[in-house]
Amino acid sequence: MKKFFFAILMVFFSGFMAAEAAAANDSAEVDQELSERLLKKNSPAVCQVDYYFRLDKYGKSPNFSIKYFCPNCNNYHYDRVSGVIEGKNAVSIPGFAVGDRKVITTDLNLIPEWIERIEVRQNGKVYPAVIQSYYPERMAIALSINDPEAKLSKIEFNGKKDGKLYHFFVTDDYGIPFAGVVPYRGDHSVVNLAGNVRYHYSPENTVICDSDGNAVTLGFRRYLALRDRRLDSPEKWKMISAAERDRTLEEKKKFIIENFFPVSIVLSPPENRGNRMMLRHSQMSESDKNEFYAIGMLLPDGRVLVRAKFSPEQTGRLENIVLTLPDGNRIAAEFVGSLKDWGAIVVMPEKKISGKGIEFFRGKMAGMFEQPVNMTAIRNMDGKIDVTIRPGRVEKFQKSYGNRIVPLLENFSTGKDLLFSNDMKLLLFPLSRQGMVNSYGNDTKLLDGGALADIFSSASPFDPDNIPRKGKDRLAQSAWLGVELQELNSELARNKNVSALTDDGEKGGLITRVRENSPAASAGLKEGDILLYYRYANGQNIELASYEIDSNDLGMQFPWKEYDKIPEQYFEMIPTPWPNVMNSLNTQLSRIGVGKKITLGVISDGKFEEKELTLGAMPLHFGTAERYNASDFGFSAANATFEVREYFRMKPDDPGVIVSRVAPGSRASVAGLRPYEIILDVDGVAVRNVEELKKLLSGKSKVSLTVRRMTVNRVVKFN
Amino acid sequence: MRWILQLLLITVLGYMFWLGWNGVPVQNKYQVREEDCSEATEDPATADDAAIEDFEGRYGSDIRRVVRRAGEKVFPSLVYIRSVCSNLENGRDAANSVSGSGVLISGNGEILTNYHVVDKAKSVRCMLYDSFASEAEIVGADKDLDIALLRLKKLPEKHKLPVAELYPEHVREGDFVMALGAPWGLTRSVSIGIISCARRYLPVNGNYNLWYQIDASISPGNSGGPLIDTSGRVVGINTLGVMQGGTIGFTIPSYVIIEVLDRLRKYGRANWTWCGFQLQPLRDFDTDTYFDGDSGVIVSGTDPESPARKGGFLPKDRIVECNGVKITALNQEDLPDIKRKLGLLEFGKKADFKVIRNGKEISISIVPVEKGRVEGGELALPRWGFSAKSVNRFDNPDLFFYAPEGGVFVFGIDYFGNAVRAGMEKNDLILSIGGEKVKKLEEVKKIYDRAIKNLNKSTRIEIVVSRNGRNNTLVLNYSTDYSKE
Repeated sequence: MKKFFFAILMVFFSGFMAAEAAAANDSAEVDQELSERLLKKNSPAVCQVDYYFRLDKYGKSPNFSIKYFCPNCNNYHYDRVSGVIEGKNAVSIPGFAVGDRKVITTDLNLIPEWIERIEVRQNGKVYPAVIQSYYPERMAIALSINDPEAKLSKIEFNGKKDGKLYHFFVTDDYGIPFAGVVPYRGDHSVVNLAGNVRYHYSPENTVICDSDGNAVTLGFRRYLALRDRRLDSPEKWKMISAAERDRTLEEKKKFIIENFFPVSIVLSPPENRGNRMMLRHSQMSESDKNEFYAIGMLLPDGRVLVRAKFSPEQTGRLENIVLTLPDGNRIAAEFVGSLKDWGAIVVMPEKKISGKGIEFFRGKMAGMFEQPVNMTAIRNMDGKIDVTIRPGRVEKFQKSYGNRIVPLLENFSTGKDLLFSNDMKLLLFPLSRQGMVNSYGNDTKLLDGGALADIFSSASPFDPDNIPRKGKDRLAQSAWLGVELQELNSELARNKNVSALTDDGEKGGLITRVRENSPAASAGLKEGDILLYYRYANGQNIELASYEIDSNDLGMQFPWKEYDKIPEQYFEMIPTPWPNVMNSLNTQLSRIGVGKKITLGVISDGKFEEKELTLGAMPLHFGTAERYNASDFGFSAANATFEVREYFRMKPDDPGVIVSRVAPGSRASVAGLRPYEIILDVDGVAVRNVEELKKLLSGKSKVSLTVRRMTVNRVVKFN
Repeated sequence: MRWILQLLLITVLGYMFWLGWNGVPVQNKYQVREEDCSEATEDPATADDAAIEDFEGRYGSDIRRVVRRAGEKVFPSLVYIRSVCSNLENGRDAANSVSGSGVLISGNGEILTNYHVVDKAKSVRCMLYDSFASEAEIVGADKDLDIALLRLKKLPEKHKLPVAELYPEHVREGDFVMALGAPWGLTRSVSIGIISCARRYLPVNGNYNLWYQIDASISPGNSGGPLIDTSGRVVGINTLGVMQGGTIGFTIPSYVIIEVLDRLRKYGRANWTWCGFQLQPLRDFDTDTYFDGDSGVIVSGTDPESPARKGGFLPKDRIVECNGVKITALNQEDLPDIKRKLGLLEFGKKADFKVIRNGKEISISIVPVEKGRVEGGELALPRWGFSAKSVNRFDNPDLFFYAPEGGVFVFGIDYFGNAVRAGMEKNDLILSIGGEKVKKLEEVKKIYDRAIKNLNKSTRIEIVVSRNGRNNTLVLNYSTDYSKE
């Protein structure tokens, strides 16, 4: 009954495929009789190969999908392995028995450790199987069945090559195999113009047989470039034993481990103490972190390329770089430069590293069609390099950044994995672009070996502004426009007649203030203009969503009146009365860096226009101002920077330094000194900056300060 | 970010705000600091001791009888006050009904009560002990002292008014006192206690007086009621209570009130004189701050545009004499007396100060001026959903700082109104409305009236406010009339 049903299905399907084949080709017709004959001859040898998968050694499910052709949709479908594991399912692939205990099936490019078990089914019987050997040219593998009693219905390769040939093909639709017959189309070939290689086209999973149904050979790949050898029977196929293949993979892994290193990069903490917010590690964004783990790649000249995107502000704070060698030794490395447009730095290890270095692939990319490649995932696992190499084959191409052609591979995780050619030359390297170029922050592009080589061979591969800095130089790295922004809303947008341009106030910031001599002022921005977006280096327009504009507004008046009632333990948490000038826009702009040109989209007097300007360095602000820690008294004071002077309406020559910290329980705290009070004089001598304060306080224990709290003065005495 | 900051501030400040009672006239926002009561510096009560003996001779010393007699003596002068006060704090003109107490102090119907009982009152009704009721007018009121003088509009015909006697002297710790009044509106109530501290310094209001701290039970409604001693004399007016403090109450001493009664009658307010000093005592235990010597008071600073600043006073100057009278503030308890003395100087008349600056004695003369209003005017803008108030340098120093030439700020916001939707906040300084700069309440009123007249033309107006020194543009859409309901 089952068989009958199967036969009907097959007949129906073969007719369908034949009709389609006839429409596309002018090859010999496949009539009903021929079809029946071939099906009858070859169907018994068809097996179903079931792959069961397991989690990897880290407990993760292997991140790949199995591709198979669905005859219903005439298209490919993908089965995610994670779903397969979860559902306790197997991925079923058709195969052909070629011996009593030997099955040839398609090569899924799997890594042995992902496979829990393989089972072969034929005629309702199930046999455990293992991979015996690989046929790399044919994208096929041979499985051997462990059961000594097994006796599969097999294919004999005794067909005639010179007559008319047919494909007996098998496909799998959710576990139910289908088979059909189409004329052999091996004489139809395509030529890869760039690589000058001729390929023969074939359906996948086929037995190529003569009109009697006697097999000539098997076919698993769509394109076969073997010319005369293409009809060789499997006994003559080029074979690599499973042990041999595993050994090559191990060698490649070793090569990677010799040339890639975990790198730890330590930055000194940011100087921005504008708002002393306590952040848990889990709340930190990338830019808040001071220690980074990355992976370095040894270059043939002994330098190391480290994938790490640092803004000029971050690079400015760079303290040290340490590489961990495969033997576990840690060596320091010297900063050489940051790539100009790409998020990577080049460092020079203090000692020569024994690896040979990674060479870039510089050949023709199009020539890589159908070539074996190595998809390589390199992870820094707690200071050790962990490598997963999965062999693959270039079947398609795509355009990458800069109109370059790069391979497009299935199960290749773009942005993470590296791609090596068969001889381990670097084919693809994911790098993110420097600066803020899109609003998602994920601006990773695939650079091919040639593009990388071009970067390194250019006259100035490094950004002269993106370098480590020392002392005060380090503080001047925050970029700004010099404007104050207010978030738009629908009412404001309607009132300014900019609803259409701002998506009804959803995006854009109203400029409420332009500071004198700022980049914004020199670009001609003025109060009342609306800033819509900015753009850097041919990147995307980064729109200012109005909800992202933090006016840093407390939402209430600063509680100067209640100030005495704030318990000491909260001193360090009191937000500054003035808005922090290092707001999110300035933080983003600082990622681009001082001195860089950006384009702004602005609505000025109701008209939209683009303006170009060069980002300026933000003057020192409360967060970066010079401080003096009067530890004998228990307080710190900072210079009154521009925004502090604005808030307290201090004229340029007015004296005063601002209390930035009062230690709870200290003499200063007892004496009633509070954060954000202005110290006007010490023992009657006016204080203009913290250096003067330091001079006046050092060595003294008894002093009297005149202190102003917003509007009220008082004398604070230390006895 | 903004949320975090706000949350943080609220957490921090949560410690400091005590829950007020809606419509409760007794102020209860004060937090008591634990500090020693200062010892009585002088002994004014030798005569009083004789009076006590005399009293004992007549009535005996049985406390029950003493209390009953004293109560009976003053009860007839006790007045129950109910006033309707305008309140714009919630952005609408919502009149509050306030109840309080008072005491008759003269035969022509003068009643002493608290300023906050009749603050912005539209009507004041008084009921005497014998249920005689009359409307009263406000003769004079002073916010700094929290004292108001009322006068009954009609007097009882059948009998003379029972008048209580204001005691001009200081009382001492441990003296028995009774608080009379209408706690929670329960009229003709009396509670008893002692003076816990006769010289309590509280940094509230104008700081022109020290307070009596008492442990007689005081509740909202006691406000303005008399505190009497066992001889039935009014020693003070009960003003402040502490909500969670149990039996802690604060009373304005009569000797202070007596000093300003004439000015209240003459000017309708205390009409203090203003020099603009920021003063600091020589010794402060709390902040461990001690200046050398034991005379004078430290000028820590001067208010902008004040006579003191114009006269050339500098921080750390030490005033030792004013118009030939020595001045000393050893502790903060001495400050109110000095401030009151300076506040009672004749304005417009030169005052001579002897000042020690950098160890040398110098003379500075200034011409103090009238302090004037200590609170700005208020204006309800119902359609806009907020109320505006003039910035006053004494009431809103932080706003005055940004608007020294005068300004208007957002006093109250109607939480079911248009302003709250526009993102307006309390204490926003209003810089311009509809492009017109505003500095005075009248200007706001004019723009508002025009806007209401032109409702058919436009229902949207741009308001620029300054918040924490930074400008914000708000667009107020007042197409909906929330004030209708």
